[in-house]
Amino acid sequence: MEPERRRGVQAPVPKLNWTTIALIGGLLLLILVIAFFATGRNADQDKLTNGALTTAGAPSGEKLCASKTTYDLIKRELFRRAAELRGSDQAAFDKLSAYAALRMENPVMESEDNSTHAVNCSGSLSLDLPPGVAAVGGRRSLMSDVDYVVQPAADGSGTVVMLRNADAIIAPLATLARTTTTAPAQTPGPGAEPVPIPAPGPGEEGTLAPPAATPPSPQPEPSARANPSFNCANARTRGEVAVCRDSGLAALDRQMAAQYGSAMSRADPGQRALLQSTRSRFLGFRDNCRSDSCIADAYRGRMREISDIMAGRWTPPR
Amino acid sequence: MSEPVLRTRDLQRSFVQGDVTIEVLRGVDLDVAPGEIVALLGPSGSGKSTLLQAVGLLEGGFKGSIQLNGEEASALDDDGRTRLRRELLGFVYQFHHLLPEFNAVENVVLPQLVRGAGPDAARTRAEQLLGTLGLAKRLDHRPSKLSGGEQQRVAVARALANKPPLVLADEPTGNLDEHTADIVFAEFVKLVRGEGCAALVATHNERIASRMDRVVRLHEGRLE
Repeated sequence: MEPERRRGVQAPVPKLNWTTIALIGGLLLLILVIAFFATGRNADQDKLTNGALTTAGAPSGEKLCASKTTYDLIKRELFRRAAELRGSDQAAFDKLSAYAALRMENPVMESEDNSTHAVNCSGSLSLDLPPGVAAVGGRRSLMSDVDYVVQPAADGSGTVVMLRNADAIIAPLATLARTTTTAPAQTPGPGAEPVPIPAPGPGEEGTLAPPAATPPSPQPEPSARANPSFNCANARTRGEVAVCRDSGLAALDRQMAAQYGSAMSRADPGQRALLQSTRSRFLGFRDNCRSDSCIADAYRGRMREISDIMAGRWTPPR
Repeated sequence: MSEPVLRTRDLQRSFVQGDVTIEVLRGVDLDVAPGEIVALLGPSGSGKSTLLQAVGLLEGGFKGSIQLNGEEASALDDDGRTRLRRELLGFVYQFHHLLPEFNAVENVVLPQLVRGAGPDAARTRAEQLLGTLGLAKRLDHRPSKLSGGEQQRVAVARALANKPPLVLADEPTGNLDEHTADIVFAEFVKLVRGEGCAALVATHNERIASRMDRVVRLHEGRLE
């Protein structure tokens, strides 16, 4: 019995030890590996979370550099300084600025002054001019790398923006002139306020843009005759009614409709489907707008969207 | 004698760096007559560029009097200074500062359009100036496609496009090799004379200075 018992007890021991050791070793190794990676990921996640919380907690410098408010201030400052350089037409430039579109590629915060709360930013600026006007050489779009400082106004009235290195935009912007109109129907009606930007003289179209839409009448006049791409007698939605009341919005509508028609005529089936499927979203956005500037932004965004679809760089909005 | 196109009296400018105040201009009195080409000579750091910045109404912080065509400029606001720059001054810098997105003729057309010229007239004038400077076949080239000498010629044409009474030039050929600098400077002087403009040209080059009507030397913040 004894030997059997001993055998019965002792025999399994070496096997159990070997297996147990292997199992325990493997488990320990697995736990260590998991713990290592789990700990590493958590550290990274903590960093990201802290950064995100910091960003969300207060308007950071990066956000100030890339905010719509900052871009609107930059746009107004560009037109103000262009009018100052030109020495005339300040009121017209103020109005035109509302219809121009500003885009900033790669806005970057360069530095921040904690004592003055001034944020130094830089970016590649593109300014798309409204229909009906063009800068020297017929340009409708002006581009330059710019530096800008965003800081609270000294009197507490909001934010101010100071521009540097913007002469490559300001100087040509100061040359703005009307482009010629194509049809009498596009001439603003008797109630429309003229924009005192000089028109090219007879035979002087050569250095300006090809005939484009009518210059916008940036302050809507209910009596102004607007001619969008659709029949205003059938205008029903808020967006359609607004476009029919404003010659500037009507010009944007015609421009967008012409671009859409041209794009549809040369689009492949995939592009055509995209052009159509994104159209209703644009119309919905436009018709929910509460201001003319919102509608103008919607049109300009739609025109960029059409261009992107045709260029194959369109991505679905998030 | 006709009224000077530029007159400065007791023009002063100082910069504060920490606890130290550096007096760059210590009371400069200078007259430039219409059509006169004056060399502003001085070593690097003598304040030539600071003086040009002042009379070009490009910076504030100066004391004293600056008169352009008889109009006191030192008390003007931004709009007034911009008006005088637009109507009375042309600038040529050491680096051309042409607008890179615009071709040669457009760079020369641009200041004329700002001044209110019609597009056709502005282009004709630009082509004439660039032709005089030997750039008739470079009209449609952007600055990046031009040589250094050609870029500076375009900058000269741009400065003279509106026939300003006074051209301010800060080392206008300082960025060019000696041979090219000689050629461009000779063309600059010829064109300035031909247009009937006056010029104040900052340089540290005695040889170039000797080709002008008069030389004034800036030494320790004062003219000699």
